[in-house]
Amino acid sequence: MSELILDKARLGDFLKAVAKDYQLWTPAVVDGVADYRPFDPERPPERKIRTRLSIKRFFHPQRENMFRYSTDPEAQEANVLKETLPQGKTAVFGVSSCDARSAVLNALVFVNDPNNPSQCPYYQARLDQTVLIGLGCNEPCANCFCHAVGGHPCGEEGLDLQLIDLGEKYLVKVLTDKGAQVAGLQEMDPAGPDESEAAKEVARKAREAMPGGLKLGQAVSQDLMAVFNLPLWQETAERCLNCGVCTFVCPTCYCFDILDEVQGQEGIRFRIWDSCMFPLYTLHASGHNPRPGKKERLRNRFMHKLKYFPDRYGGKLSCVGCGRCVTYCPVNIDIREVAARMKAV
Amino acid sequence: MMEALIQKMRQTAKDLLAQGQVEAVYGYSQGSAPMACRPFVARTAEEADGLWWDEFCVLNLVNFLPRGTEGKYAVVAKGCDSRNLVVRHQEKQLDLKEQVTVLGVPCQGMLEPELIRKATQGRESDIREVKVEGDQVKVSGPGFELSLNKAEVTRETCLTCRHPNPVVESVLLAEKVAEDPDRDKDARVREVEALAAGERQDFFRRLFSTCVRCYACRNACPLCYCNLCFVDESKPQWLGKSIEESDTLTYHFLRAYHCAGRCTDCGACESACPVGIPMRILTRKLEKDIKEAYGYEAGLDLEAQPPLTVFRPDDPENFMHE
Repeated sequence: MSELILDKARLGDFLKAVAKDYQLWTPAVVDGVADYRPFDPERPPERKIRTRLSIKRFFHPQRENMFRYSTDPEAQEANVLKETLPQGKTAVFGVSSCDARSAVLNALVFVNDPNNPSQCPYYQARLDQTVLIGLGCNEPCANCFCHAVGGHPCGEEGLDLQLIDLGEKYLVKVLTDKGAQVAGLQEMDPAGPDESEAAKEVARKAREAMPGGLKLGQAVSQDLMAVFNLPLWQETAERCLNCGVCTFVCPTCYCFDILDEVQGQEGIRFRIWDSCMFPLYTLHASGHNPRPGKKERLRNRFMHKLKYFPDRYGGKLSCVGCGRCVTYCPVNIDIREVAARMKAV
Repeated sequence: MMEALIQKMRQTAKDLLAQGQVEAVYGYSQGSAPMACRPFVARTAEEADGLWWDEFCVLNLVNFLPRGTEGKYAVVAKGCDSRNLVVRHQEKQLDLKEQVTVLGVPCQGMLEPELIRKATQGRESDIREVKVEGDQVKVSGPGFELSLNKAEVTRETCLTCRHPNPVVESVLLAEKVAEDPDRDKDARVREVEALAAGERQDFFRRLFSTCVRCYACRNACPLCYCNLCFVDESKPQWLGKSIEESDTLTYHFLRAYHCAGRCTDCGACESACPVGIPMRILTRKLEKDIKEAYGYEAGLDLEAQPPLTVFRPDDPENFMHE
């Protein structure tokens, strides 16, 4: 694993070089809103920008076309579903360590489930075709807590390259072969031992600055039904709007719906983000819905992320501590508060 | 000023609850993050101490009220919220005369977290503290500090508000404020109306280009209380659920139309949107049209009926002759 040095002044050149071989996305502020946008060579990112929506969109997009088909009875392959796999090399720059972990956690569901041999070819294709270039955090965001869910502000899990901000320059850590290919697009000097130490110091200070006293994972060791039946859920759900914002800004919420749309005789089957907050979620064909109201839906979200998922996937929480749900929930439902109360009294 | 208001709110709630005059008081409590807005229900005199009020209490509490005329409760209401209480009364979803105690708050304008976030130009996730100091709003976090003019981060709907004082109230929690019920709030609507057809289409396509179909706008809206919304119908499916542009525009336009003659411009929709879409332009256009066609403003008269729910022989018919 090599470590290189990239002067900040040369970041623009590096990104331009990457953009020649990859469709490159970087965080950018448009109309005051920070989000991933196609790289604009005129405006390379000058500092760390945390985006509203996570990198989930690169592996599990809001809409993923899966199959095309023709309903024309004269067509040669009428009504046969033709797979439409995503194509094209993508690179994403400025990825926070929390977001990067989410790609690995979601992959457990889509392609790496030890209990389920079937794999999603769409997720796999995007994993294969995407390079993640991380930018470590020098200090935490106002509402984040990666350290309380198994992460680290300068964590490397899920990244191909990791940049650490040393002031005038970045330390560039090459973590995978894909990362090495990207790093090779620009001449970079190897990092010296001082620089290597400085990067470790940045990581250490960032970790120290994370807020203390948080308990996100205690439900993992609790009895499921005891937590399920807590009065916590009715109390919290009273103000929940069931709006779906939390599930959409969350990097690790992955539920989806599959729909067919036919225009004329051309059909597309596609996948879109669904949400356990939506009324049709788990509505059975019989008309029965085991989660008929706000309380059941809200409980489902927290139980899924902090209990069912770790029960199924070896104790890993389906939460990376990015804090977006805390910031954008219109009624200030705070996962840190809810998780602290998810224990049998 | 806020302190006095909060004290009076808590005392009034305590009295109502202790005397058994209401079963619940709908208000806000303090949030756990900067600029947070946390709806809260107090059911005992002790719980009433948790009531809170500040410039960020931007959602519309009428959205959280139970439907039906059983069970007495009190609700904290600014001018716009109080008009939504009237709308719900007109639509027979509650009984303002016998059931609901209104704790009226004459409103001096609320701040919009989205405007403050946008003002940080990409540093919004670093905001640790937001303090209102006179006519300035101080926003700070590691490595930055901004001093914003309060007017610049006040909600757009508040800057042009015609009815800041509650239109119905049982108890007033503060002094009434000056208001101008004839003030012009249509400048932006006229700008968009003046665009040529192609430009206008581009304007709306751009406006909704970042919509992710989370439906926070709908769910925060006190008017959207249908048991099953048209977007969730599947047999038949009225519009597509993906972020296909035509489907997204259809959703927003149709939702706005369902609010015509009922919307009080409380702005909860814009405040709830996680990607900061200023979608009130649609409902404001309809508000202007309703005023011009029917001389009607939503939520001002308990005995009135929203114009699109009744037929009168003298209703304007010019649109039928075009």
